[in-house]
Amino acid sequence: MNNLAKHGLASALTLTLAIVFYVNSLKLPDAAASLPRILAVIIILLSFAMFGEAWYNERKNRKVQQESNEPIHGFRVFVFAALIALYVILIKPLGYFVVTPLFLIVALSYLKATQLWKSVLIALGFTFFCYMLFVWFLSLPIPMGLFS
Amino acid sequence: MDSIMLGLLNVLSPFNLLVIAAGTGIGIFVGAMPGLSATMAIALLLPVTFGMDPAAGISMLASLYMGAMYGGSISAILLRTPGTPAAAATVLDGYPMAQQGRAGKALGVSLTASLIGGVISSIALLTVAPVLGKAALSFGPVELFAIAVLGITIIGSLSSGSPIKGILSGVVGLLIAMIGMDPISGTPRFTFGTMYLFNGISFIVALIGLFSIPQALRLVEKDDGVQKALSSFKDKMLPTFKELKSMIVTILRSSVIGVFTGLIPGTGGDTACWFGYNEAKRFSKEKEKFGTGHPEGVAAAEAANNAVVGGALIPTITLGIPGSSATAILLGGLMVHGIMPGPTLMTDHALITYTLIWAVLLSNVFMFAEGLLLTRAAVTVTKVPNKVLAPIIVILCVIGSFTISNSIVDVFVMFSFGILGYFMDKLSIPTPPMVVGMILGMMLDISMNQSLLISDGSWMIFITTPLPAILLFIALISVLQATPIFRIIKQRLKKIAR
Amino acid sequence: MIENVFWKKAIMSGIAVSLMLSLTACGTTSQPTATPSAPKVSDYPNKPIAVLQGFKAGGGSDQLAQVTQPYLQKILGKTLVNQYIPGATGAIAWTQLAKQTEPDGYTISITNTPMLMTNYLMNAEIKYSIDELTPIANVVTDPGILVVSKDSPFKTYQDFEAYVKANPGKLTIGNSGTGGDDFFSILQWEKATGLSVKMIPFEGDGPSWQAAAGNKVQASSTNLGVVYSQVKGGNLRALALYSEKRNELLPDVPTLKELGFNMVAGSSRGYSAPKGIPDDVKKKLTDAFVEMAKDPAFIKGLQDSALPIDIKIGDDYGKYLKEQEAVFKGIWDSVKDSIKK
Repeated sequence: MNNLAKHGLASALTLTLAIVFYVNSLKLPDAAASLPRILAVIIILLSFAMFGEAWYNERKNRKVQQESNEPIHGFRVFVFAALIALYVILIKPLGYFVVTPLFLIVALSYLKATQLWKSVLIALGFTFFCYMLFVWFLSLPIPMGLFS
Repeated sequence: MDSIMLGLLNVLSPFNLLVIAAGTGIGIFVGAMPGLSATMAIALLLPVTFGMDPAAGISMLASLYMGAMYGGSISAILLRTPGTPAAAATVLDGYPMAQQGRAGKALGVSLTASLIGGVISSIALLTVAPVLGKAALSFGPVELFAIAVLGITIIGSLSSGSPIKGILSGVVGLLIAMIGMDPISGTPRFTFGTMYLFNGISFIVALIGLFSIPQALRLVEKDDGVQKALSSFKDKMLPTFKELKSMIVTILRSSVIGVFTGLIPGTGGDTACWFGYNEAKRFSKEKEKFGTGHPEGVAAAEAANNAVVGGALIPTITLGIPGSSATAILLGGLMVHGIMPGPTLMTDHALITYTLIWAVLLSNVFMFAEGLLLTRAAVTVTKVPNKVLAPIIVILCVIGSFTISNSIVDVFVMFSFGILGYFMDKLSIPTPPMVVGMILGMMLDISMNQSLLISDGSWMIFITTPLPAILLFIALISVLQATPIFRIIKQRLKKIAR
Repeated sequence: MIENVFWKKAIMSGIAVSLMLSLTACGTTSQPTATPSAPKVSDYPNKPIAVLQGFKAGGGSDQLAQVTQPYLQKILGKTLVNQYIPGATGAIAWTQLAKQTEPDGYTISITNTPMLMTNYLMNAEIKYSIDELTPIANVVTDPGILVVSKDSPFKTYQDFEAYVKANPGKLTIGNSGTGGDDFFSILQWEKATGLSVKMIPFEGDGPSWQAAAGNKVQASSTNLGVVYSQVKGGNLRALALYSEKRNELLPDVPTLKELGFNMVAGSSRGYSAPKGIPDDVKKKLTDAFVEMAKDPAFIKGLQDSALPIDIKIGDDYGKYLKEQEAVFKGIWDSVKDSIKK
């Protein structure tokens, strides 16, 4: 995706957000709706401005500071994000003690961060450390899932 | 005078010293954990102090508050993940410094600035508290509206690169803050039929997501190369005398800002760090250096958030009005001990009050000493491979955001903001303005509607009251400063002068 | 594959070991169980009791818990574990209590009026109701109080009323938020007197009385326990109390009843369990509160924190909640159209 298309998508997203909020504000009492409506209108204007700016830059063929001369592993980031999503979804039903070490081991192995035995050690150690810190020391709740 | 000396003697008892040292240490440690803010840490350790005598218990909690304010900067600098919301502004220059291999120096600057900010606020607490305390009552809806507007102008100065993107990010933050129960009409706004949104989206949860998840994703983008900055221990941690001299004005300014932000009920460290950072940038001759790893940026934010501690305690002990959410919990603690916080605290319970004040002052010393030790250890985090660090950051964020309200919905919200933050980063849309918008949005909306109710809908109320008028005038100047008009006027003036 | 199984086993046993270790280290962290198990009534309680709190740790609701629970633990012989589920002014915790909690007496909750009822009276999204709860006991009722700044021209309640009569709808009065107890008490007062004032909602009691003390609003309707020390310290002047009798903390402040208006209002905090808990469990719990209320140390603890004690046990508490619900519903139905426009 080129720069212009990316900005177009972002503008479309903020525009949608602003419109959804604006429409939603119509059924609110006036006092509650006034500021959100002003903000929604500002966002609509800025969305167009952002797209305009990107379009202007594109036409002028100005290279917007392209970072990274080294290519990034897009697919790896995607898989890692998906792993995080799975972790977040499963932690409540399965519980902290099942999902946390699994997430660490799978993530560390997939990223080829260290050898497997080190991953397992890190996973168990860190899981235990977090448990001690949050539950034993601060008596905070963590999702227990199967272990409840 | 007697009570001051008695308080000093009381605080110097071995048990009290131990309790203060422990409180400060726990504060630094807990503050460094993302998701555990100072307020939460105080609330959690409150029951522990019930067994102690009131003076020792409250002193422990106050020193915990002080420690947490510094602790937040450790993870902000090393992991680009603010440990507490009050350390969000520290990320802007702290993390770039760590990337350049100056993590130790960044932490040293943070510690020194925290010490100075903390000591200044403690001295203010000890000497001029009764005078300043009265000021807390002069902040009503109209004044808070002006402060919120002034805070929002910070968005402009955080938008390096494209101002359009920065302002867009900030306004979206403001709009997100509107989600939840509207306290004026009692109607749920933009909650889309779910009661989980009645309290709105917690900016702490969003902040964790916006800063930390993108960082975790970025860490796995590339293979660990040789460029992984090595924080050498040869690099001296504490700033040299020359370095300190170059930023002492900034530290002092931030300390004063911190004391006053703490003083105002409803604003605390999370606001003060941005005010401190913004003013440092405004008065700096090297504005362009901010955001690229400028030690002054770290010092500005960190002096301000530690100065909040003393500032927030001023109305707390003189009037029984908490200056920040953390001090509100301290008041609750006093009440469980059977001490009614209120205007009589300084007279009826002088010993406890003065022990507390001296404890706050002393906690700075402990913070500095313990900070030096802990920081040496903490810098080793930079030696952990990025790919190991990434999943560990994720776990801390997930558990941290869950514990805030014991809610899995918060974790989903945190993750969503994380993905949002990653894409914003790719489009070089800055995330800090969004955080500022979320912090100030509700304050802006409520104070605006309250003021308009009081004035029967007339906007003149903001101009005819002196303090808000001055604050709004400063806000106007800040906005103009960012536009070309200001530069043109400046050039014209120079020409005329010639 | 085999290796996989091996690792899984290794992980599971690792988990089990660390779990066992941690469980022995600290046995007080059990979650409210959803596992259906026939409650053994005879030896209730035989494990820790979870107390759901709908507000953040360190708030007013938590304060009651901290003062009360040491005594309850002593009487019941088991620990009470606080679980903080803040959100939607308590509604998230109370929905969980009413809808998702096993009625075995091992999960109870602190219930605060008027939020317990106004939550669902005012918002269709909130589905629980007090009919789905078993009221155990009320502990504290903090009566409403009318305060003005120390340098206000209103020296007495009569001055205040005369001003409102002369300037209908002009006087600004702070409350703790639309839908809170003070919001309802001002409406009740307007109804009783036929006068009208300009209500300014704040985010909680603190900002409301502080605005009055700083002369940002002309008066504030708040609660005795909240402002007692300010009145005593001279920052605020109390004009009237909305309780049955005068309070010994402020014996000079007249009640609205004395002044000729039949009106009593305030906010109360007590404990409730889900509907359908076994009768003997309920009896154990209510008996514990009866016993606690006799303890002079407990009464002194509440007094020191300016929490006015108001013990209502079991069905008395239930009746009180029902009456309050009717009052709030009546008031809300009469004003909601003008508020929600």
